[in-house]
Amino acid sequence: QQARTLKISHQFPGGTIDEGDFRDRMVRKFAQEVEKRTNGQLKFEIYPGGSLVKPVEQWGAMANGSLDMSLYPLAYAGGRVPELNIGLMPALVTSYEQGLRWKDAPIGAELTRIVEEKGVKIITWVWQAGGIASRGKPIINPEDVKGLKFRGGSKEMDMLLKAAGASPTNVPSSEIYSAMQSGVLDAALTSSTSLISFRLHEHAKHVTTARDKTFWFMFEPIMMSKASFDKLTPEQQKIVLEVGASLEKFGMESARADDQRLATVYSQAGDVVHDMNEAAFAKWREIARASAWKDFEERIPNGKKLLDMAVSVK
Amino acid sequence: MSVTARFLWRAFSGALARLNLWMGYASGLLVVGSAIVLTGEVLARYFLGSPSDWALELCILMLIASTFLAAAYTLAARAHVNIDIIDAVLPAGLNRWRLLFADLGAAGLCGFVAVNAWRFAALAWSEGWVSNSTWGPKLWIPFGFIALGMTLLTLQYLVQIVDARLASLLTGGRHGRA
Amino acid sequence: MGVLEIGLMYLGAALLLLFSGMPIAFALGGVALAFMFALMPANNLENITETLYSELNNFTLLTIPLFIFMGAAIGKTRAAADLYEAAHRWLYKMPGSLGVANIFGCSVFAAMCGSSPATCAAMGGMGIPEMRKRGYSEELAAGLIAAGGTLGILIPPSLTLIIYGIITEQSIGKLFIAGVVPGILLALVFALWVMFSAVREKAAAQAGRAGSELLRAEFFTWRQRLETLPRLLPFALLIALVMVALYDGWGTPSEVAGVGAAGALALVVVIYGVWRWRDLKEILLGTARESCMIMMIIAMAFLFTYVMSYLHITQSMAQWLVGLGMSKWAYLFWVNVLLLVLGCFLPPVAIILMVTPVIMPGILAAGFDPIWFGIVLTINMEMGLITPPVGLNLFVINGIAPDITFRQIVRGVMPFIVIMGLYIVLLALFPEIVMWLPDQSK
Ligand code: NA
Ligand code: NA
Repeated sequence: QQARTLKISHQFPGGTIDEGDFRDRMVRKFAQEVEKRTNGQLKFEIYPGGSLVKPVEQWGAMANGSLDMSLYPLAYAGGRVPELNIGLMPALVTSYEQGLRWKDAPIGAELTRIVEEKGVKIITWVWQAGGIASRGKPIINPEDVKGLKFRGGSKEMDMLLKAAGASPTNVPSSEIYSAMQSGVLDAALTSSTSLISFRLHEHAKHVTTARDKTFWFMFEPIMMSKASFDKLTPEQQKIVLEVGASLEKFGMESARADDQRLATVYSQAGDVVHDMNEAAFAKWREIARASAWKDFEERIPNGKKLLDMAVSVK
Repeated sequence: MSVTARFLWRAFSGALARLNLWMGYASGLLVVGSAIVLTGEVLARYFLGSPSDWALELCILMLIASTFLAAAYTLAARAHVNIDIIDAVLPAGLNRWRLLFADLGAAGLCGFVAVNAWRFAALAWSEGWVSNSTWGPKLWIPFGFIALGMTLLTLQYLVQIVDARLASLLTGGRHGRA
Repeated sequence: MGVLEIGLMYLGAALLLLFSGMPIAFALGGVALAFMFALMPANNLENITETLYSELNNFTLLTIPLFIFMGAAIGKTRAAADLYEAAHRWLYKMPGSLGVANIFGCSVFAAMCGSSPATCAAMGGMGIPEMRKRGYSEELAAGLIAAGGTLGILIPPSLTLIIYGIITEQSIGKLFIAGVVPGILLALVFALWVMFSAVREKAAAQAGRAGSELLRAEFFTWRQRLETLPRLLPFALLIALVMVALYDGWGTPSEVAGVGAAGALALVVVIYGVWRWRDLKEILLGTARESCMIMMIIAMAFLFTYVMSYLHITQSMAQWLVGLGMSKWAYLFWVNVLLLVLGCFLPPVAIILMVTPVIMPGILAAGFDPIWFGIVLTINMEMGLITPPVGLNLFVINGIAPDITFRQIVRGVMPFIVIMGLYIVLLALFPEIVMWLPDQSK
């Protein structure tokens, strides 16, 4: 049996196995462990920072088998497979634990079926929470966003923000920094880790973290092209799946640690740190139901069923 | 070549030249259009506080269309930059062959990309792919512009190969530069 | 076959096609396609269209055609001539004054946009014809605009520094501040070189070709100088509009480029009366040609980069260098050599994405300040924009002034490449040049 080299791509800053963005570290841990357990039969080349395929296009590359693996925000593929927008539906997931329980619930089976039909396999289930950086006033309740130029970063988040009275503003991620600096944006919404690596604390005054509640949970699993997976021996497939599952705890703990680090980094920069409580979350969820969820139900044939399955996860 | 064939060829290359010139105008207008859309967007957001969720994407779409639509016109105007240092080194006879091969290679690439882009555009059409944004434009549109532009470019290469390269090899004269 | 052999073959094949006379864009695309066929699984061919699309599906790239349009529109009117006539009348006693004015024009545009080809396009369309009219050699005129244009990514705002800051987790604000002093100083060094070259060209003209435009004896009274000022007003208004829009937060740098282009259009139509179709169509076609040429190169260069990244060539080169275990200064030296070699073929952002994650740990371990290194890296990337065979600014100039040969342009930028190399050495010897300003704001 000849050794195979698999390519893993992701869009996040690259570092080492011990330091840097946890999403990069997770991929490196995966590679190291699989290489060890297959005695070097499987090797990996890791491409951080979108240095092989651009972020969104990683889906197509995995689906046609030209890219082996990616740690991929699943909702990015929503333009091609609209059901996948459920991976970044506002106020749908309520906690890390509940998100991880999707895996063994009916919603997990359905999601797995949908992506595998398109030629992609989920290897590690990872959820990440996000927060809000703002230059003006703190943003906790829906009424706080009225009239603000707000970058939601995705279609569903923009719908929610618009319904809450904000002006969703489309700014490419490479320009968020300049936009926050010059005031083109009043506030931006993204993952805790990206709020740190985009360095918005240099211009923000307030940050709302996900330490308590948040309406921003994104599904960003480690995924593998089914074509690549099928080429592995049964033994190797087993190792890949086991190592993948074993990393879920690391993913959750690191994501949660970054919610905490977000607070530390921003407060060190002199910003005021806020948290979102249950009552505020309930208000956001009410608006989400009437905007983003409603749109998802109406546009997608089995949208309502998917949402019900997700909500029913305890 | 027979007289009829020659006539048809002239008609074809003439029509292509006119079409490509229009595409050149369209391309320039698309750049102007994106400047106007952007300005409108900036003013609406800054002074009226109402940002749009489609302006940026529309501008990118216009930029992609502008780039590919003008590709054949740019070739006809000899404005696709190349490195011409070898020109002075090789004897004229060799240079004619070199330019023929360069054109054939480039035409091959462009033709391949054109076919690939048409297939991809068709796939995007049949699968209903959209950009995953609030505005959500259909993805066959940009892929279609790539396909159309690369097709025109391939045809323009064909005309250039027949009218300039082959003609100059046959007559031994020099027609145009690379 | 090892990665090293494949890498050498890839770059060799690229050189062969680039020098075959094939347009740059198609030479890059052609090599990529050939290696895809030969060495990569067939399903990669399915990605070609999406690869081209994903590279151009980038809002910040819009600044390039917009600034090309701005340069073409203003270049078509008397505005540019007025501007340079004014600079000439005020500065005519200084040797190379017009060239120096162009370097400073490039610096002003650099402060407005984060992209070097865009800076080059905006200034070149106006500056090069004016300099040639006054007797500057093709080499000097083209070389100084190409080199001056590279300041676009050093003087903030800078796209390159933003990407570097995100990847290496450094303060982008601090990087921007760190770019100010080296950027202005580099512009001054360029200006000195231009003055020196102009004196040399003038001496050569005196020795040989009498009657050169450079030798024309001139004198301008204060009255003649002052009367140029009102005609600069429209231009000053345009610059002021863009600056206000940028720093008052009307929009991001890319959006403001749109405001600038629309403003330029209004300027040439309303004030300079360019509204006849005969004039407008030339502006449109010129914009179409130049932006198509540059954008096609950028798109095809990404295909070239994709294959290079897929075959792991760039990454392996960097890993090999890191593995040699060199001393601090040797490491810095060879990292710069690697960046320079890659810069001959690849665009800056691609290099940063592929190389920085690999080389950065070594840079930090050697005790170099990451902010300082970001500036050194950016200057190295600036060199890449004017090194043949693939240098975006060289192609911008070639598009703007098609009658200047590629060889003349390359000869013109050579001294500037040497200057930037020496400038990196200077920054290594005196890191305070970079760090002084950011250290003040602590
Ligand atoms: Na700049
Ligand atoms: Na170069």
